[in-house]
Amino acid sequence: MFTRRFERRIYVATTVVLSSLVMGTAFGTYALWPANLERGYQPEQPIEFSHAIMAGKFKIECIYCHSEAEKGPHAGIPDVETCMKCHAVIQPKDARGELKPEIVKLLDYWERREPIQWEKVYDLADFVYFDHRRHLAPGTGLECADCHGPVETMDRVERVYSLKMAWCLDCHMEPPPAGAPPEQLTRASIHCSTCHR
Amino acid sequence: MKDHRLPPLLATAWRAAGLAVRDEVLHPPARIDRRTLLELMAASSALALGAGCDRKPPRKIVSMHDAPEYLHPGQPLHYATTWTDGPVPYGLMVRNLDGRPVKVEGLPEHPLNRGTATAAMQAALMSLYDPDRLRAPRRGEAEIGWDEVDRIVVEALRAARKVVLLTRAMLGPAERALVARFVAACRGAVHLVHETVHDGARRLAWRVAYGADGELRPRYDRARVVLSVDCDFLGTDGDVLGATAGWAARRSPATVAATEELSRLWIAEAGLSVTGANADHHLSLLPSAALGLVGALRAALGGDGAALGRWADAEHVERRVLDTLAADLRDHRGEAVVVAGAHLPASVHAAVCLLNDELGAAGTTLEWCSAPATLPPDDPAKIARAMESGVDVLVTLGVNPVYDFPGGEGAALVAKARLAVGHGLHRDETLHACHLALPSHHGLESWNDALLGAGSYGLCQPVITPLFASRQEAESLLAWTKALAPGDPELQAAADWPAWLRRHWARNVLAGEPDTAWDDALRRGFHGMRQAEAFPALNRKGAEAWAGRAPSARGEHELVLLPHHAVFDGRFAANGWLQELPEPITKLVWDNAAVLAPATAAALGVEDEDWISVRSGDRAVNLPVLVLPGVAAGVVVTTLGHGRTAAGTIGTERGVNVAPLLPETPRMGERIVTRVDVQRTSGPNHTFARTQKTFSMEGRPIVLRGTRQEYEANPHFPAARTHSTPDSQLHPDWDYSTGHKWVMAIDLSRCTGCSACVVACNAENNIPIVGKDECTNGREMHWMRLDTYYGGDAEHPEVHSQPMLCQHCDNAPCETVCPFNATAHSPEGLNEQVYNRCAGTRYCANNCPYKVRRFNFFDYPKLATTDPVQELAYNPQVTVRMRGVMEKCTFCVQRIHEAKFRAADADRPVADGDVRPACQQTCPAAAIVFGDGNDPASRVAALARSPLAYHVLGELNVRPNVNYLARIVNPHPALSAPPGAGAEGGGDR
Repeated sequence: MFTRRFERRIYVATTVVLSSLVMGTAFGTYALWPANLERGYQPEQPIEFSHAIMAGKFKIECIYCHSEAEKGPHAGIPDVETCMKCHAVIQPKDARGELKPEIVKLLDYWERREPIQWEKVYDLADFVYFDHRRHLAPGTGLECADCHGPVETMDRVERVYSLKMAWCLDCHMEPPPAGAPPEQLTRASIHCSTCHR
Repeated sequence: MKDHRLPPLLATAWRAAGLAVRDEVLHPPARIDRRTLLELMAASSALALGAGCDRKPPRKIVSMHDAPEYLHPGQPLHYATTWTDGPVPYGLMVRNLDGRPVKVEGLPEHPLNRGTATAAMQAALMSLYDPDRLRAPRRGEAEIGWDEVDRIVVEALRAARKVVLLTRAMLGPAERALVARFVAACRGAVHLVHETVHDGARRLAWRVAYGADGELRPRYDRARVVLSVDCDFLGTDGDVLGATAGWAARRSPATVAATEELSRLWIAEAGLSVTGANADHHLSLLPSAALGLVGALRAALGGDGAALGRWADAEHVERRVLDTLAADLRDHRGEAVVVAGAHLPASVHAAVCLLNDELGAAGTTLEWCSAPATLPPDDPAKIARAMESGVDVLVTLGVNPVYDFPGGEGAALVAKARLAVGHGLHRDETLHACHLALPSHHGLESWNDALLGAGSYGLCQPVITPLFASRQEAESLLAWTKALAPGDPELQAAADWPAWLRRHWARNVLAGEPDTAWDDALRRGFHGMRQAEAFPALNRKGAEAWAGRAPSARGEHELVLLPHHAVFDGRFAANGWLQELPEPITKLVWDNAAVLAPATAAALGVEDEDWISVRSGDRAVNLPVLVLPGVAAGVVVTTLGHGRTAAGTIGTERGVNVAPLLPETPRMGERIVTRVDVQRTSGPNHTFARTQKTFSMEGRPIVLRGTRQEYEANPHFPAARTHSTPDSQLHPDWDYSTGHKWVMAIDLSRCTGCSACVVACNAENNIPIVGKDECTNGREMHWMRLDTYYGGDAEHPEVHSQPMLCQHCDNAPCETVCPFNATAHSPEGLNEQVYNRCAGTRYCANNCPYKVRRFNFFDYPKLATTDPVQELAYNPQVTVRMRGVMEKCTFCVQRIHEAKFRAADADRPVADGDVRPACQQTCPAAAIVFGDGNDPASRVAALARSPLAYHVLGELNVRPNVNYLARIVNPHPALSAPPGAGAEGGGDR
């Protein structure tokens, strides 16, 4: 029916199409895998606030601004007043002697008495109940960076870990710490209601 | 077409794998044309894309501007306040999360309710976030500003010659003082109090009998014998929380010191109320015969038993029963109390005062309170007289006369006012009829106070910034009074209503107290405990004169109008939690009915859902019939509060308004009509939504009931009546030897069936309402329900109430059938439901013998949400479930975790009582106890060891973790059946 030449072309074309389909699917699956979608999420914020400067250069403790992390379920985002504790005095200027634009934005929020609407980087599903206080309690040995990555190197905060359930379980299912009661089989509870209520 | 070549796809694959392919080998060819190939490609890429979709929508995290230091995100704050919307000023503890109230609970230290709450109190949350609330002042249909309102009202008040201020009865001392100033400042002003459900008749009789306005407070905790004359003191009549706590304290052998201490409850009533359902002896009583019964009992106590016999014969009651009742009262002088329903005429109450005096109840089982929380209401006839000739300005504060004025004349009266100003939460019937409709603050947005008794004051504080452009009624009154009385220095000194309130407290309540007293009162929610008062002397002559009045004339049928158990007099009709709260006895939701005895219905030739017309004088109301055993023959019992025509999407056009049938002659709040004409009539097809379809236990041991005599003879009788659980089983037992093991115990002797726990559960666990149609389909979502069963005979049935919730079985049948492992067992004995795993096969619900699993047939949160303000009511500590997900009681697992966290922070183990699920916390009867079964010292472990403890359907070997304690009733030995009779839980209906 077909000429030999045309038939060869069909073989070649099909091979190309199929292999690209396989590779494309593999790549797409990887790129769109929910955990990979979350990793690397780095939204633009209303103020270009740099953790690299605050936490990296000036070595301000996380807890100074996210003061609720050791007290309650939510680490909390600092109120504008907390920013102003320093920035009422520290107001860097650019080469022309004008206030830097990001500082101007902050002062405007303060003047307008307006809360800042940050983009949520770490956003768990509504059916997940995570408690910062429990994870930072003495004995857990956890640091902020264990889940949030090296924030002190980031100009714009990026989600380093997926925070998906499998990622949580990696840690929860580790062997129990020395001295744990014998019925404890894992490092932390893996029962449904621990996180889902 | 014949083709012997290798299909190109296959050949490519083989060649790619390095294999030589002979073209001739494979046949026949599977042809893939271009079209199919493209389709396949499109489908696979769509699959690849569709699986991952996109990252979920971004969300904001909003910092505060300057956060108060006491505010911790995600951590609750509790505020003490007072419930000013209802008939009794109970204390509220409001749980605030991130600046919004998410749960209303009882105030633990409060002198009246001590931490418990009624259904209506808890449902206040839903009213607060009601999207149908009036949001801004209106003149006709136009929205206007408050300045404009004040200008119009003050101008009209200045020019007026006749002003009527119509308020509800619940006014605090500070507001009463302000009302007095208003009346003084306005020319021709009169303050009238309008209520349809109140105790005006009782108050009148007490005033006559004791010479002063006040109220009697029965002490059920001290009474060994209680006689209720048509008084639903456990349901809707008076201080139900105090009464339930006191009554329940003497009902359970598990918690009283000795069985001799158990109390006995007699009731003679027209319908079948919650109190009647809990009575040891139930007599039918026509309302017109109440006076005769009390009189005959008085005579019998005085030594003349003949009158009692005559009464018994006339009312077709067994003489033996009444003689036993008289003897029981006589034998318990000083430990007996008689109470009569607020809807009965003052003559009955006067007679009851005399009877109580003869029983030595004064100062023992009855206490006197000279400072009732409510003002005595005015007679409707007086209100009508004041308004029918027309008034210049009518101001209504939180009342709805257009809906509920006796005789249905409210609309005509309001229309006669030259300027009608209505203040209310909703644009209800009255506000529609008013020229100015003014939105009020909700009670949770208000400053107020209340009288709790002599020397005891409740303080009401706002727990949220007002949601809408509303203003508190008292604030309006203050603004107008200030404008009318510019020379009054005291008024002018009060910048606003909170300032007035504080000033009033400083002078009258906290005079001589340290400066911290105000902050202290705010923190505690009240000031001062109630002081014991001397019991006033009885004016025997005055009381006799009232008691000697002729009883009401008797007709063929008699009508009793009671407040609805949930929506009360209609004020809570816009509240979905309350509309969907099943009536404790009939399980009716979203509706009211004419409740008839089977005999009455048969005589009229009607059945359930048929219509009757009830005519009193020239007014008639058509009602659907609900036949209920236990109701007195010849009586029509119905409830007020339904048939609203302007109560938002929830409350409008639900049921029938029976307020036109209220007697309008000067009768001080009587709510009986002893001569009504009842006829069968036709009406639209009506369907009752009832959450329970069958009321018989079919002889199975579901609710176990035993008499005190049976219990004394064999405390272990429940074990003999339930089937034993097999000793061995296929599955291995769970190992609970370490850690916690959560267990619940429910004492059926204490539970009255009041259903407050249902609303507590709704609020705590974000349980949606589904509406009448879905309730008819059996798809209500309540995790906690009250099952009601009838036993005994149809005339005086035994009624059994049983709270039913997930039993958290050790061998849970639901767990083994879930194909997704979405319901799992926790090492602490909880049966966990994981919403995000659930795919909605509903296998678990089918396999649950208790029918406690609920399925989200629709996306109720989205369907029910018409306004974002409703979302504020959600408890953020519990997931809001979507369509297609199964859900059920979790034992309030969020509270378990909270208690564990608190204990871990304090570095101590979780103590008994640290975890209280919402149902236990609110239970007025303290019937529910939760705790760690592994802790032998815990209360729940002690109850589970009680000989009365049994498991429902234990024979299925599901090993439930809810222990029910068999209900012990205390009938008089002379009347109780010999032990052994009716041995299985309860008979057929």
